[in-house]
Amino acid sequence: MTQATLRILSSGIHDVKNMLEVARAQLPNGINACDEASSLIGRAQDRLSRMLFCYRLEENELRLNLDYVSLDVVVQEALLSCSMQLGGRKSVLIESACRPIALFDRDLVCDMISNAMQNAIRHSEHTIVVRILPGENYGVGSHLPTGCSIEIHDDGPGFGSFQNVNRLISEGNGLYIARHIAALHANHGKQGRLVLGSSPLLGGALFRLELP
Amino acid sequence: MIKIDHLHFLIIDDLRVARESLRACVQGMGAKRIEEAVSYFDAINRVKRKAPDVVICDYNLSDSKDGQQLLEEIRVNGMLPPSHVFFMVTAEQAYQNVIAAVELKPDDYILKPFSPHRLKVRLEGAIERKIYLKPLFDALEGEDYTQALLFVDEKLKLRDRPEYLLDLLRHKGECLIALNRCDEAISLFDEIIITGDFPWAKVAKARALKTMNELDASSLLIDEVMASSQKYLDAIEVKASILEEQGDYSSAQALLQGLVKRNPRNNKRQSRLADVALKNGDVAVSNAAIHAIMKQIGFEGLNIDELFMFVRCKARQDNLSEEDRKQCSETLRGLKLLVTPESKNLYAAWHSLDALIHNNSSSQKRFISLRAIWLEYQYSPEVYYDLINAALFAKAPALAEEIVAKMIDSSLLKPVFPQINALFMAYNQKERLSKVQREKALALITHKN
Repeated sequence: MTQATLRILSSGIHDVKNMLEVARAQLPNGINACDEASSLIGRAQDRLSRMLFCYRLEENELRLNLDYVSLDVVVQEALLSCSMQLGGRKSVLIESACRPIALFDRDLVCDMISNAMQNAIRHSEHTIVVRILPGENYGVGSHLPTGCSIEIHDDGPGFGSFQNVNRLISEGNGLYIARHIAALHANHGKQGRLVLGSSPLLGGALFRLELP
Repeated sequence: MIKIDHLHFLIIDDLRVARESLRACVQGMGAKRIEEAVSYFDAINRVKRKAPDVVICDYNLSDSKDGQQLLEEIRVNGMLPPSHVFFMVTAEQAYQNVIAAVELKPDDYILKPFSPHRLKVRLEGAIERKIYLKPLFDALEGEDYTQALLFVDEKLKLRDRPEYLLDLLRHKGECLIALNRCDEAISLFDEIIITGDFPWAKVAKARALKTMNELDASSLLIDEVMASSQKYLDAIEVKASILEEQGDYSSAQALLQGLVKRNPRNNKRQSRLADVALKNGDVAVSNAAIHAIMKQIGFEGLNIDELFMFVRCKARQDNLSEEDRKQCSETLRGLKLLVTPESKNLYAAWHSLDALIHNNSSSQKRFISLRAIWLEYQYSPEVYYDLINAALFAKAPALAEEIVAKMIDSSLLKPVFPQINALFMAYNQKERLSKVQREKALALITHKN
């Protein structure tokens, strides 16, 4: 695909995303059907946003906006964006020992976590556990803490089962971006990474993001 | 728990649908006092009338204006105190512009599309941060950097809100620079830069280096930031100040003109442009910059430096109209009340401009009679320019020669030589300048021998 074609596509995606925003803003509040429509539009917009992120990654246009951010707050934001999907049928438990902070791009990581949570909710039977863990050297040193990770466990079929291939394909875009975003985060010579595996906790899938 | 219902919100967006959507969101948070602005100028008028506690502004506004320009205008011109929240709403196309702001950045932002829940989390976070840091903002507004530093150090020790760490460290660095503890500031910024690629930390370190007169190191660092993105406007501003310090007024002016073109309503930058253009001998650009400020805040809004620049521009024009002369005369009368012999630069500038503007023998005689003072102290380059200009204008070329000799002794001639040379040429006195230079060079050779 040529650069020009890519630009045309990305600009088209951007316009559609904005049109959806206008459409969503015109939906009346407080009516269930409208809330659902609004949630669907929101998810469509998220999907388009992720495609734009892919484009920017490919074009090396993605610049990180780093700050120390509380992982608790990011998880809270991500969880709020999944509330409609949860619908009271499944439960999400959050385990956070010491309210850790880490150095990362809040928007990118929040989108990544929220995407991973949506996937976990879709594939889980009943439960999702989100764990926020400080790294080994957390809190050591004068000013600047380093290293944290976030784990999302579910009790679904996991990546190792028959559905493995389908799940990885359906989550392809999101995981592709997540790997890139994780790797873009570097601190004191260490690089962030994404680990996918089986959950020792719930037996389903494990999504683990390590931030340096 | 934040009491949202006590806060006064201003929502700025040119699209009605977007304003209504934002209004619904903040109403859902419990806000009761919500105002809306439909354009850039509507917003300016409303903020001027009463500064809202929280401004929520879309990045793209009508009239080819954007939210960053609005933020700069209301912050720089003191319409929105630092303790009040400015929150930006942006599409991802403009996102890089929003995060590129180094110094004057929004308190927080949200990327479209967003859910009301996410907006709530972000907005409450921004408000909470302002409340937590209020004592710091109060100290900074009163320019009490020692108090500000005390607050920051106490909070760094306490670590009760670790997510504000970078904010606190950043303010600590700025306070250290303001207190002229640049070595400590540089160590702090180095520690931050090792942790991550923070353009703001590099720009701040470059400012500290510049304050320590480490111009080459400062310039290298700024070049690095500018190479990574041309959107870091504060970096361009620091680069301009380094070039100015190095005597490259022409390049400094070009950079500042680029910045001012981007946002003509940033008076701080207009003022800097007026100053640098004048040093560069570009009276027309300087005059235009001063008039751009006056257009916004009126003549009475100009500060003392700007009033001097206003008179300087007029004094350097070839044909001064009677109306301009009258206005300059009145300005000088007003400035006289603020100028004392102790304020050496202002005192010298005032007498020079008085001699140039009034064009009468009494002003000129008074100027010449103060010769001993003009030769006793060391002045800034632009004041030396005024003194030489006035001496040549008052037909006292010998005094102009003496002042140049003094500049050479203090190594102050070199950076402004093209301007001083042009001045002597304009009065057909080029030979006199060459003579002083020759004499000084000879004296140096004799001294060495």
